[in-house]
Amino acid sequence: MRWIVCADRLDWGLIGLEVAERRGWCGDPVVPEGDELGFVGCAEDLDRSHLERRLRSAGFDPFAVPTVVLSEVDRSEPDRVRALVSAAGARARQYPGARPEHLKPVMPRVASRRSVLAFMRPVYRSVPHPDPGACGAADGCRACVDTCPHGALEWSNGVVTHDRLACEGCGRCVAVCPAGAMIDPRFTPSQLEAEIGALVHAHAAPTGILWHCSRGAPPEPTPGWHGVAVPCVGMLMPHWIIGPLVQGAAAVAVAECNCGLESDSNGRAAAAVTAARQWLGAAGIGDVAARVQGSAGAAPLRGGLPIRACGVYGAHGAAILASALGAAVWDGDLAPLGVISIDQETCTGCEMCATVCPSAALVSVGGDGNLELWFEPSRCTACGQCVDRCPEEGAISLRRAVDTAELGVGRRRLIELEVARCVKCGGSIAPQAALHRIASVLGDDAALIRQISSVCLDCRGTTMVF
Amino acid sequence: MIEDTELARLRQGCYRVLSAGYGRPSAERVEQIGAGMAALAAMGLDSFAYSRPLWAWVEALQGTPVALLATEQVRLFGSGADGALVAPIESQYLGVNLQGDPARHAARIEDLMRRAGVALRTDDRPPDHLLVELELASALCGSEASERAAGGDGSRWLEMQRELIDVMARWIHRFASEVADRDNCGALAALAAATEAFVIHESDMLRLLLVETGGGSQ
Repeated sequence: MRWIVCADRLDWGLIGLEVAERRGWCGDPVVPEGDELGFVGCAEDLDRSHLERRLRSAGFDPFAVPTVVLSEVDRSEPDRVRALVSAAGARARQYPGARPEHLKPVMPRVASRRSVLAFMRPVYRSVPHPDPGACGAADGCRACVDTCPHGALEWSNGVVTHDRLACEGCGRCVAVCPAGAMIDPRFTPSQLEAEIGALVHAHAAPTGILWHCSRGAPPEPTPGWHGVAVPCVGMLMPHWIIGPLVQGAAAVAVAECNCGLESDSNGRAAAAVTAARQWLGAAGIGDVAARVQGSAGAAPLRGGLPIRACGVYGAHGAAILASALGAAVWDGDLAPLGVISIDQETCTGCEMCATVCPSAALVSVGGDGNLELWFEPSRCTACGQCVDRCPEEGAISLRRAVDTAELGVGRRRLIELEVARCVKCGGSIAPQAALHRIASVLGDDAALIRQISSVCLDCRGTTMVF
Repeated sequence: MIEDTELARLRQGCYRVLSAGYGRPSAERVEQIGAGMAALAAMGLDSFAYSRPLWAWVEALQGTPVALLATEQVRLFGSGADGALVAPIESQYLGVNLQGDPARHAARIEDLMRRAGVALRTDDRPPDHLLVELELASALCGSEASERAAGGDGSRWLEMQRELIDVMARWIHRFASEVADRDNCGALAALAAATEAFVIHESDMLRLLLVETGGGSQ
């Protein structure tokens, strides 16, 4: 990657990177056409709108071009500059591209001498949008809709519609999507992993990772720590917080959110930090739990977690992390894994839970005259959609827990139900339990119950049972 | 900074350029589209995210032989209801199951035209054809720009644009995906992608403009 850097406030000869130096670049970011490139600016008030326009004119997607703006603390440490440039490049290489649905235009209104109404040039923010190919909305999943604090997502007729202008890009929908279908192109799991990996490995000294909100002012740079932006810290899950430790970071912390767009962000982040410590404690590595901090402090000490894992920020990251951390039983409201159990007496085998399960943790299997529900704990993200959609109260329950013994058992059959056969064609009608439930609703209409219980849907139009 | 009248003129131009892409291809038209894009660039097109797909389309268009383009266009877009592969017609996407009778879509556009004081001069395309809808949107932007230049807020025209674009935004993604799957020359897939990017941007932009004029809510 070719880097163009502003040489106004930094002597790049001391940094030891191959860069093209430009004086005054921050004031007027000139963008050449051509191969992939990145920029390093030194003015914290860089005009993003102007830069984006220049990038588009030169044929670039502005989100694809890494732009690092160095602070005073950054400029004072050559190691730090190298790490930031390397991390920005690593992150940019994982950029998946943005679709039109991912772009939210923001056009601040200004006064103009010629016209009462005028806009500043637009700036674009990336917002999450569901990938229809992976989204489970068609089967009834509404995990993202239920979690959105701004009412920007709506489920209707099996489709999730997204109101970009109402969306504040807090990223909670991304974190809870059990299928990994909700994508914010600037904050994908692979981008975060690449960035953190590059930051951690760029330094010989121990490095701390400081998660911070992308929408507010970035935290003051602290020696020994590097900030990694997420849409907002209120989206962080316990496995995201532990994630940098299994990538080699010596410590991890969460910066206080100052964007003010959601009132509960800091509370949620603090709860996730506590949950991450509980998980590490349950895994018998409580000494490492002290390296999960509420905020960045002194430079982290050498040491950390001697365990490495990748893929921990994805939809199945919690299961990957649980396997890496080793034996643990931790029950908690924020546990990112779940264990499903089914009440043998109440379940009617309607298959609603298996239909709605967006991560395919619950699946129904039709056998010879029976119906089985199978559960794979490593796929369950504890989204609770199965419990929410189950029409029979108490038929299904979810235990929010990281339980490696359950993960070790693996795929298991939860229930087996006998299926009634059609008296005419011998095909399946429905599970006997479902027919009993229907009979209990219909009451004393014996003829109708007999008809429904004896003949399949295909034969019902031509066959009457008396 | 971009003033509202200039913004309306820019958006009007984008609609015109895109609608020209759905017309019968010719060397002259390709040249006109290129000139139109140059004019839009001078108006500040590159400030907007849809500029990249628009430029990508023009590049693909200029690199495609006109004869191939004409063949592909007939094969894909054809005359619409009588068997085009990917008819650029609203009711083909929303007509049957989702939103009722296909005739309702044509009637909705005709009603919008009447209220806007414009008429369809050709009868070889249905009113809910993409080209017609883009031309109508362009005319509405033109009226908005004129009203703004005269000191008005253009909210009446913005409301009409929103009526048109909100429905287009519901089917344009499916249309663009189908064109991308079937186009053999690349230029029409790029055109559909540019249309999708612009229409989706417009659905947000119109809401922003309406909020600014006090005529709508976010």
